[in-house]
Amino acid sequence: MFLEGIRTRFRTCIVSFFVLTLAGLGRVPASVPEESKNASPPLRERIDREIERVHPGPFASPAGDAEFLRRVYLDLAGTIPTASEVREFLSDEEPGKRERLIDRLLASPEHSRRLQIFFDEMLMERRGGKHVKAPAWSSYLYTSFRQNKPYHILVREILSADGADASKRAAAKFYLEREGDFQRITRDVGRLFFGRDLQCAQCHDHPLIPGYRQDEYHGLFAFFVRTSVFTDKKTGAALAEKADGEASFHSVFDKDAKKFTARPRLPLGRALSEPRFEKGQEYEVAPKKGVRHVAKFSRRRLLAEDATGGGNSSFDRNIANRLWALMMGRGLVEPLDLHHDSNPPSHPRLLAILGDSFAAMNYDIRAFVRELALTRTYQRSSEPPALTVELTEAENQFKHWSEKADSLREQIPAVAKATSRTDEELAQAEGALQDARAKHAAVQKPFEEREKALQAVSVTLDASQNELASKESALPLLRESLERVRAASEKLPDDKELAETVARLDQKSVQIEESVKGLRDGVEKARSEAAQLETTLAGDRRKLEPLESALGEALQLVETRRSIADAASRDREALTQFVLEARSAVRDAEALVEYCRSIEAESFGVDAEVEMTPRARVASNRLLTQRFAIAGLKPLRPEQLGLAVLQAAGVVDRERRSIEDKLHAEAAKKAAEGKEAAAEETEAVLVVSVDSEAVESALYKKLQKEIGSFVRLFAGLPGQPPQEFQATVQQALFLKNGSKINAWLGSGGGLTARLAKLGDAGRLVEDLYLGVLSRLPTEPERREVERFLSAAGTEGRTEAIQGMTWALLASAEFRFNH
Amino acid sequence: MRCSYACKSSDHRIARRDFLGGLAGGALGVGAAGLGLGAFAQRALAAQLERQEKRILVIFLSGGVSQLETWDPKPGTDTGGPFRSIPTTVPGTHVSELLPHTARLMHWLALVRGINTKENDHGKGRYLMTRGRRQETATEYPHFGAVTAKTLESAASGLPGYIRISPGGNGTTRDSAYLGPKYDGIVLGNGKPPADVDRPKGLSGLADRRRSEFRQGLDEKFLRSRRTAATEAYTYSYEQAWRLMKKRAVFDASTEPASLQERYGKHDFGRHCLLARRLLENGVHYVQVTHTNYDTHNENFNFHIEQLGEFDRSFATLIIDLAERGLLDSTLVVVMSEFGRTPKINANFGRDHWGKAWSIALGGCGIQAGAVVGKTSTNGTEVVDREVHHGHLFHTYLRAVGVDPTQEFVVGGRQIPIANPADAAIEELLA
Repeated sequence: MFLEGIRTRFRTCIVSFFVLTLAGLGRVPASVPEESKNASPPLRERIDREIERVHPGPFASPAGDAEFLRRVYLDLAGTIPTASEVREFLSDEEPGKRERLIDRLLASPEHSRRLQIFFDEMLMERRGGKHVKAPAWSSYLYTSFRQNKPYHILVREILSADGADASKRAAAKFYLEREGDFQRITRDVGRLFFGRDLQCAQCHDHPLIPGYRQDEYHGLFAFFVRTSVFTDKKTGAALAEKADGEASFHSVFDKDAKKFTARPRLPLGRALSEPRFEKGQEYEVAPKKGVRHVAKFSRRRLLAEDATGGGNSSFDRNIANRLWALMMGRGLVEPLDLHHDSNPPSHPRLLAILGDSFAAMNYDIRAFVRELALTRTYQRSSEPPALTVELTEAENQFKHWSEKADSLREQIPAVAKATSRTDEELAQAEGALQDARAKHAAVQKPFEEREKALQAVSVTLDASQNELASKESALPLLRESLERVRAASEKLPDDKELAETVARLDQKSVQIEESVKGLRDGVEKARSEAAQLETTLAGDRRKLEPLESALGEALQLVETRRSIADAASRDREALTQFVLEARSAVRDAEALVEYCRSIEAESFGVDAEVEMTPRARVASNRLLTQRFAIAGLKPLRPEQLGLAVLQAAGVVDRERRSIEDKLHAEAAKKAAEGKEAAAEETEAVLVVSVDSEAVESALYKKLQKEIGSFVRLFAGLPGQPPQEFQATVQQALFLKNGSKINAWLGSGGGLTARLAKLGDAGRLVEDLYLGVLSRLPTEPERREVERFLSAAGTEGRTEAIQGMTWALLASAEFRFNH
Repeated sequence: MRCSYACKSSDHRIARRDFLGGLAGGALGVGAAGLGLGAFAQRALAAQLERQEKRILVIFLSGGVSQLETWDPKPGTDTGGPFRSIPTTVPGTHVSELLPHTARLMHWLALVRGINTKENDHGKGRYLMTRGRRQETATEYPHFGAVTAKTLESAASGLPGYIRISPGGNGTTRDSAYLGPKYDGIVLGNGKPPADVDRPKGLSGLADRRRSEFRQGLDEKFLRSRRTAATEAYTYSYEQAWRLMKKRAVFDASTEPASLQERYGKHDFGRHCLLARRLLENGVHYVQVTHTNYDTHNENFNFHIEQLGEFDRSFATLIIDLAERGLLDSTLVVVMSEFGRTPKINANFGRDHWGKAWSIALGGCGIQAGAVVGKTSTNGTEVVDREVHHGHLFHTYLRAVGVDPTQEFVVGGRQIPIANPADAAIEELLA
């Protein structure tokens, strides 16, 4: 199976590379290899295929019902099942009971509570509630998950919140509790929403991580550079934002301290543009002492919208990886906030699938978690399988993959060279295009001016010709009139008026004659001018034609070369991805060798009959867990531990009963007050009126204080990223000697008192194991409990029951989700 | 070959501890040295390690002690105040007459008189003096105690690595930052033992042992094939708890001879110093005793007479006690504050906050006895020679106990230098 996987993978690489080479030479666009895009199997199946493709095997067998039940309860509902829930599940023989259970848990209020706690820890990292109190924040998160609000909407609300609107204040907790430390906020936004801890890139490019650049940090910081905290005495702190201010930076390693200005930009995104407003128009509320200024354009809103608008793979992969870790115990990338090329995912292709799928599911957390819970990967046992891989086989695989990786790596320079050549050619074509444009413009511009002049001349010519025509036609009439009047005047020489008329007409006709002459000259001149212009234009036109076609060709060339260059750079990216995969295959193979060697060194061979030494066991389990070949052990989070202890000891059941009674009584009272109905009718109403959500809320509130004592002791320090598991001596002392635990084991709980009343030892041991470890005892365990009880005698019986209950609660089996 | 893992011999415990160190030690795990060695070699190594154990004792004079009334007196100047200076066992070195007992031990101690931290705020001053770095945005650095607990972590002690004795209540220090809760300090409020160190009332020793054995039996079965570094750490924490409970008597200083208690002083600070010695003697790697309060904006001189009267005698007794028990050579002792006090005496006969030119005293493990490094001007208003700050001091402390401060912590895939790489140790102070 392993070899088969390797072969498929190897073939994929070779095939892809062949396509790649073709693409580089023959300008064939690189195609997407493998897996036809239609007919995509469900996500759970794609996950299992990827996991099973990468690991050589063997895998742990599927988890038994009890193991699965406890795990899925802790993961989805945040606590362990009750003894009766275990009994019921174990005896259920209908097919599909696991899927039904998953759906029931996902729909329960307990699941929303679990996500509330998970996201609170992720987003706030155990910070306190100075600006937004815990109940408001918890209720905001709880309600969001209860409505199954999509993740990106939740993040958009959080990133765009300013805390000024009282009804939306809770969402601003993320910013407000970080106390206006916008460097901290930049770091945390990068870490928590994009999986990139850019802290060390604040003052210079990251010294150890090539991909973490200072401009990326400041691109993110640019979203916050205009924001400050404004504190109103009555309503508290809120964010204010100016309309100006830029994130400028220089590297502390640069002696000249050359300054750069970062445009707002998401990690691995492009620089974003923003609207400009006229001076004096930039603010909704202008800066003034004692008021919170609000710019019309908010960069924080830009961040919220761009980050959650889809299309940023680091945003998608970050959350997919975190939800994966929630269910599977570790991320595909660890630490969760250090995604970069030198720290590749353990399963690169799987992470891409998860990120894309989660985005495609419209960031539906419940649906995504459901798919994870339904995988074979999630439902494997934590009991490691017997080992069958031989060292020599592992070494062969290592050699094989090292060679493949080397040969792929060797191809990089050639592809890189091809890319830079195509880039160069593109640049050349772009240069030529610019030249052609300039030459064309040099002729085009005077040509256009002349055309305009010609038009003006024609307009004048038309007007002059019209005028000329009317004057020419008026002239003979005038002359005729003149002759007639003159003849009349000669007959009446004394008539002065007539003589004056003759003179006026004479004058007028001379005037018009002259005007006609002038117009004729003008028309003549305009005609010759137009003719001249037309000749020149014809010449220009001849010149323009070749230039235009040259321009067209240059444009065409640029387009062609751009598509070639794009294809080449896609090829390069694809190759980089293949190299990455080959490298991870080398790592896998190397780990396998190390694994086989350690087993060989520790246990004189790989014989399943021989028990491994503890050290080999730890090493082997680490490897199997990294490959998700077994279910990894997950330490219970402080809240899970608290709830599980309270549940096991009987405190939860007791509190739940009292809450239910109270709610029943209240409902009864209400019903009685509202309507004097028949008793049985009231009874019927009562049964449905106490809903699980109200009970859960009251219970959570009631147990807050007790859970808080676990959080104080078992959680990390405020503001610190989560770390590897640590067990402290104070925790052990609390579990061993703490007054609370011992009170719950006594009369404060309920379990031990109930057990003590059971006369039947068989029933006692069953109830004990079901209640605390959520499974039935084995035969040897039954005998051991009986021995323990009989050694204690009647007098020590209660103490013995309490002692065993304590031992179960303090056991590793209880402390870890397995 | 059957696994003999379950046996509970002491050999096994040491081997297992080393094994854990090897797993979790990262860049610094002392336990890594134990990997790959046979049981005999490991036992020998553990014994050797125990002999070589280094410890740190910090006396923190809270509020800001006056350097002029302690380590750097300027009698007869405009800033000197009413007290004389007295000679010490180191020729040429004088201290304030308020420290007659300490003056007689000066040949075991060293002084740094040219400190300029440029910080006059209590919180910020305390931060930089105890963490070796100025407060920064976006990153919190761990306390000196947590750094010590982590870097000197070893198999030898059943006690926590970092303990603070101060007035007030019990709890944890919550200042281990990225090193995590495991290296967080335990606060013995007014010298009270840690929480939950006593077996619950009504639970007999026998019953407790029986239930513990039952737990171990369960774990053995469950972990036989499932063990991981995390499960090992969890089961080991019960072993630590058991060892701590066994050493419970360490926290009770009232069993010490009455005459010794008398010499330490019956006041809180005296009791706390005696408790500190017991803790150090039993392998706690970092103990900090807080003496409060030196924030003397009013009546500086009267308050210093009173406070230093307590400090001088108890401190001198503690140093002698450590020396007599052969612990001083392996214990670095530092007397520090968040800052010093102004040379200028204010209208209320007080001195105000002053980070510009002040002093600390240190001695013991790795320190050049009798050294005086740095100098202030005639009336103490500025440093005129060998100016240093918190960063240099932090490097020096770590070097003195054999830790290379230029190494890095590896925390969740990140490498963080133990001390600020921009600073370096004060070489002339190191033995």
